[in-house]
Amino acid sequence: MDKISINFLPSEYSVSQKKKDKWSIVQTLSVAFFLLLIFLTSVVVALRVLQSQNITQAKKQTEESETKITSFKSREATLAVLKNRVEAINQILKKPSKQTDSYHLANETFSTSIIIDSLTIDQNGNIVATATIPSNDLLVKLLSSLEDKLASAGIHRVEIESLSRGRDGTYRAILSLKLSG
Amino acid sequence: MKKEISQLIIKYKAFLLPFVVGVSSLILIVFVIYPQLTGFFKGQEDLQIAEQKLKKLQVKASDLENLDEDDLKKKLNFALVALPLEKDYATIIGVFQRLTAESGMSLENLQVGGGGAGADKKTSGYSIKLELLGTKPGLDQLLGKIGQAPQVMKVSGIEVTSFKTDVNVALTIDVFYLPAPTSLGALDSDLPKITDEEQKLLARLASISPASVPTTTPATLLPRGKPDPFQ
Repeated sequence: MDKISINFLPSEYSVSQKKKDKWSIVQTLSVAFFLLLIFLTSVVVALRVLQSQNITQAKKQTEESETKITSFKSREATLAVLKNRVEAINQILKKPSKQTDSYHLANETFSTSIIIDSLTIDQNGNIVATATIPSNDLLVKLLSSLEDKLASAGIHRVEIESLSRGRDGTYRAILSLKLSG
Repeated sequence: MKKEISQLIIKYKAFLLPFVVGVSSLILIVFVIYPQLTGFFKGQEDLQIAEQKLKKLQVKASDLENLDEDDLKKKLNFALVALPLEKDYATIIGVFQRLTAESGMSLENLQVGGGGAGADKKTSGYSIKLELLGTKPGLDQLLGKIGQAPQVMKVSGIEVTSFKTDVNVALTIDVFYLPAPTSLGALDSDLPKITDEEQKLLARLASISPASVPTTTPATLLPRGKPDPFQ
């Protein structure tokens, strides 16, 4: 036989009971939320305390390292001056003397048979040479050699500023060698 | 009054706890959690910066500790011979007298020029003009010796007048010097490193330096205190 349930309680009672149940859930949730918040607060505060300790530790170690570095000030000064100096020397040596290079070029270009009366090398390494060339063959050889050295030895331009032939067959020439770069 | 209050409490009893919890939570969030959280994130940044600085300092301290100070001082002395701190006419005149004598040239005249011979903005220099008499092989030898001299110098002008076997030469030579730096930089600045190329240069300078090299202490290199202690 099926059970028959009859509710003898008034309907207002069940409505108010439902309301009470609803509010009870709200209250429980409120308390739970508040407890969670308390927990979160304690976690955050604990993290901050730990972090503060780490920062203090790092600062302490930093001070120790700074003290140690200060004690080695003399070594640091030596190294700094040395580095500064070596860099400067390197810079100077990287750019060789154009004048010396031009002088060696002139040595290679003018054979020993040619008498160099004067040789001037300017700040840019350009050469002006006054030469006495004993014979026509040597003159031709010299001009041919200069032509070969154009571009290959860094000679940009060769100018014969003057050329004269003496009664004895020797040539006097003023040659200008302009270097490239 | 009391009766009214107690009636109000009874009436709104259900709302009381959530209201108190809400207000307390708000206070906790606004005055505790939020400031602590923002402080924590800022603190993390500060901690990261502090740790990076610490690491840098520890590396620098370790590198300094491992440096061989005697070796550094020796290298510095060779470098100071090559590039002195200031003009030293007496030494350079002695150097040229020695070089010309070794090359078989005769030093007829020596003139010291002005400044402006610096290789770049960092280095300073001055010019020396030499008038020499000798032979062409002697001149070749002298130019070679100038290139290999312990002190860094560079030929900046050559005028040769040849009289058959003898040559009359006017050489202009730039001589360089470099004053010491005025400060080391910040405590946490990077330690300069000598590259391999620079080590080779130092080895070369050591091989061509004179046997007795004057010693210099770092204390004399950097300026100490104010020029005028009363300012």
